[in-house]
Amino acid sequence: MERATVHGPTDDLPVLIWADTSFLFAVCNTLDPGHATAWALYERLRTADVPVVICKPLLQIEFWTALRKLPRELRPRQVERLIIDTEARLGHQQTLGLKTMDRSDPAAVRQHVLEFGERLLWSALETVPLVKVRFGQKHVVRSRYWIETCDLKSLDALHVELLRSVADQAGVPASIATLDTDFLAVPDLHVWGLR
Amino acid sequence: MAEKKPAKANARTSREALARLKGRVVVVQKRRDAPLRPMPIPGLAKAAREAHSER
Repeated sequence: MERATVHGPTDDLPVLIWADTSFLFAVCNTLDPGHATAWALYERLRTADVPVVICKPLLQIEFWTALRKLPRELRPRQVERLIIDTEARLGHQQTLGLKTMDRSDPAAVRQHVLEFGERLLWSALETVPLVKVRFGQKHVVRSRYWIETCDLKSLDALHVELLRSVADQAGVPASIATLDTDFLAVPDLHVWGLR
Repeated sequence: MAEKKPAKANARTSREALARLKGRVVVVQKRRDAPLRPMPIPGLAKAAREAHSER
């Protein structure tokens, strides 16, 4: 079975592109090993006004899965610093609206981490033409095909099913911005962000 | 035998592509021009990798 096509920084950009969380995390986080590549792609997409297609509920779940783990990696003082830095980046018109964090309360720390993390990640998507698409039970059912044939994880399989259905309907090649090499197993997929 | 539908030509522009997504799209959001300013987020890359294994 043919695998995905990997695109590089000099290839013509797609007409539409799907974004997954690995790409968004790398764009927002200068400490991510993939940041330079992701940032270069993000800037190209933004400059060229390429619409970025997402399924918001799917990204939301993936954001939370990662952000939930973050407090274990940070000291409370680091969380407070990140909130201040996030508010500075969101601009004077936005604050996170959080009460002072009780460092001794794990629930409060988690609340603050999820809030700043979500705001930062969604703010990245505000800077590109953003297309949010619906999904239904039929897409969930059909995503099993990608688990069976390409051994994708469940949410990755749903990403593929959704982006391919959107690409088919829109009449464009199925293209994804991602740092996740698991997607290379998907035939006829155009992968951006790995080079 | 039923006639085979001709293959749909690829959309050449994003406008054309988005027009074909009518009914599927929840919203098309125009971008905010203030650029994103990325920041160092210690631990996020590791958290994201661990989360990926749970997907």
